[in-house]
Amino acid sequence: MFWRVAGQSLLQRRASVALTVAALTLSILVLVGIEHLRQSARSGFARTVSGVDLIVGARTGDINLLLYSVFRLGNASNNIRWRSYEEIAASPEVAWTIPLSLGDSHKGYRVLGTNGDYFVHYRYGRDRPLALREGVPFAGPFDVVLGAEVARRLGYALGDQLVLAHGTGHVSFTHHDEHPFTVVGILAPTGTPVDQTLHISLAGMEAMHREGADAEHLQPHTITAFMLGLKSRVQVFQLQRRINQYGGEPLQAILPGVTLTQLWSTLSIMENTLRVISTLVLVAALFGMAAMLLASLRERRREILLMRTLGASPLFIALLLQMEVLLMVVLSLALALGLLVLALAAGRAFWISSVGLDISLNLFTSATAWTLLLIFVAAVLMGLIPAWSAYRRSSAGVERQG
Amino acid sequence: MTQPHLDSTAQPAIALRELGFAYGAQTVLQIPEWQLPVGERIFLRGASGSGKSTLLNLLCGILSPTSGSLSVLGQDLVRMNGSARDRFRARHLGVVFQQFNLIPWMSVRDNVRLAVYFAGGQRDLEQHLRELCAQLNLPLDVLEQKAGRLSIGQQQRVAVMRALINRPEILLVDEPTSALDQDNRDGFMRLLLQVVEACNATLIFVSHDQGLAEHFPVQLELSDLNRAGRAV
Repeated sequence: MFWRVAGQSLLQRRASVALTVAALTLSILVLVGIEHLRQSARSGFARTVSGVDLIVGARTGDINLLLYSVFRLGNASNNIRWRSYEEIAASPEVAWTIPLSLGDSHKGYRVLGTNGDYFVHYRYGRDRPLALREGVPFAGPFDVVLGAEVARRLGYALGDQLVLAHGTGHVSFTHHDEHPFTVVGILAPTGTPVDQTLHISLAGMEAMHREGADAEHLQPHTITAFMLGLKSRVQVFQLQRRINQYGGEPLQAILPGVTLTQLWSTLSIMENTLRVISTLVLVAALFGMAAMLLASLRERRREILLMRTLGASPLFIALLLQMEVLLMVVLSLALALGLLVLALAAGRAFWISSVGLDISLNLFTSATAWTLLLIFVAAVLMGLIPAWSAYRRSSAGVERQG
Repeated sequence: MTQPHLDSTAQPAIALRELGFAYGAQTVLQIPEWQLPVGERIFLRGASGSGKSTLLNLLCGILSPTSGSLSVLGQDLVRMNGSARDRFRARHLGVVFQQFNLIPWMSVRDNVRLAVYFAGGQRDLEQHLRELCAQLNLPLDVLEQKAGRLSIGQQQRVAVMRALINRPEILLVDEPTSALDQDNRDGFMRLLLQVVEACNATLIFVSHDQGLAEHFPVQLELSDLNRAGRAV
């Protein structure tokens, strides 16, 4: 009976209830959506690179080095000499290295020049190696291995020929026309920037820029950066210091985990600002709901008096108001989650292709559950305002004309 | 579920002594003594603002007296706590007001069920509803209609049905006919008295309209009871 009265009472005031629910839904959508993107971005970034002890590049900012070497965002300010790379790679404590040569693109996707060690030593997520969905790693200078997203979006299959461009824009005017590359492998999806990358050998990269040379035996003069793994992680700081003080040219080595944390702490001001704003939006919507219910109490004065006469306690009246709050909040939560799933599904492709982040469609994480619980509790607390007002009015003297 | 009727043979339906009620500094009611025997049907005349609504609210326990004693069906309403009074009111008192007796956006059936709900439920509700509909000359399909859609005359009869659904010992009626025309008024009064007779309830009928007094064996002037506002 109680639910029936609460439900019918809401239906009776459809218009104002619908507007209140709309305001609540939007604000919950914003709050939960931002929280979810934040979490996904954080875990996405953190899982992009794993098992790499140091990343070495020309001297620049830590974060800049991380961004261009791992996330393919921005550009290197300078390259490092091949000789420096060879010298450091030959250090006794170094177990493996992956050279990285960036600076070219194909239809907006970055081209990465590297060697076969990339497919052996590169790790993402929880120490997961790269896997080929089809084909084999590159062997010749004009072989290319595509990231999953590149192959999917551009519709390439094994054996297709493609032309790489110099520069990193979507449209490039200097095509390296004379060097068509052949797709020999396609990687399985990783949810990291690897999916957005075309991988070729360093020799192929060099051949693109040196016309008419004997591609088979080309040795690059410079590379952009390299990753390295140590035989024992204990030596990481020692080697880092040595690289930073390297005499041949100004170099810099970063620990990817540490730099990721730095990146997040620089972003945390923005994160917190977004959080505060979305929380305030929700609080405003909750105030709006309380105001709507308070205003409705005036027109429901006689209804409430009538129920009191029938034997309703003031507590019943207060709970009735609170129940209406709950119904509206639960409805808004459900609507917001539904819309959010749709929005994420629609926006996912954009996030993957623009930032290389795979936003999880799974909203039902413990973080989301806590957010929803907090929203619920906040709504119940806010509902106490009209409920308390109804309680006071109906327990104090009930006046009637006549 | 039928409510156990209180053993009311020995007790008066209503007994009050030195009953006072004030809104702030303004004393609205001051009644030295009044008793109403069980089964009485009384016409209580009072002009607007004479304190009759306050008296009704006190009798059904929505308001608490500022001073004095008040017992209904032998139960001391002053000593009862709020929730006990709410329960007592739901089970033992039926109330019909001048207007707005029903929640307009609920069906007649739901309106009646709400009253039953507050009284703790009723087993033979459907049967009882049909009986009351017949007694009050209401077609059965009225139950499914929204209360706000009914004519005023029907609304007032539904209000009587709702007031009687829990088989109350006492029925309080406040100006139920003021919105009705002459024909409807007479018809309503006839039905009301018949159904109260059938239920064997004590009736307190409050009105300013002397013309209705003829329906009642006992008539009382509220100003004879109430000392408030008089020079003592």
